[in-house]
Amino acid sequence: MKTKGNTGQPSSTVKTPDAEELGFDPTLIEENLSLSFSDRIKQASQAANALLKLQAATRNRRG
Amino acid sequence: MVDFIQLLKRLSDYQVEYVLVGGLAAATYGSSLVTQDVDVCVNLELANLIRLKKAVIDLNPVHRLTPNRLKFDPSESELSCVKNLYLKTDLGALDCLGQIKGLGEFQDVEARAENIQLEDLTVRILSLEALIEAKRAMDRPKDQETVRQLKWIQKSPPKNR
Repeated sequence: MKTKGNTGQPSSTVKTPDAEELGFDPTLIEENLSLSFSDRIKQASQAANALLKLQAATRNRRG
Repeated sequence: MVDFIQLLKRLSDYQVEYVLVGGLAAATYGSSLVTQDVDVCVNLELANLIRLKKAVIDLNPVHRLTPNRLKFDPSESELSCVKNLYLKTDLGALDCLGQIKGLGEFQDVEARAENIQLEDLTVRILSLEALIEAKRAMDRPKDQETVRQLKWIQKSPPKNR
């Protein structure tokens, strides 16, 4: 049975139009565009912090 | 801990003349690409570089690209020779560039900048159109990816940009 708003397709198989053609996921950008400038920069700071932690963990594992 | 807003606030608090460019400018316009530094185009006049030094001096700045990560504590005569600075600070990496490929020197970049509001902080940022031009001129793989995203953003309704 379909519920309202359900396409009947499992979410993992719902394909964003143009994603392959564009070479990036436009839904990520749409999410960003819904944020304020401040929140976009805060999000960029969080991503940079996460990447630094990952790089440090990788270095420690190698060292 | 990286805090790009606090780093920009530092520059503004000390009245450093700068324009936000590069990956963080792209992220500010909505790009999904991760960036690890703040790239700014700065006025290379000595007075501005002195303000820049004051803005970051208590953030333990070091020259990020030197082998021993030398401390950033230049004399005025050293500052007068600066063309670019690649710093690591307690609030994140900060790249200060005297010119931007494809656009020119600070005055050319400033002429293509606009204001954005980050809560109570006003930041000069390279316009979306000029950022695309600069990224095209750089033309590294990550710049090409950024251009694809920025051009998509450019076509989005203005209220979302």
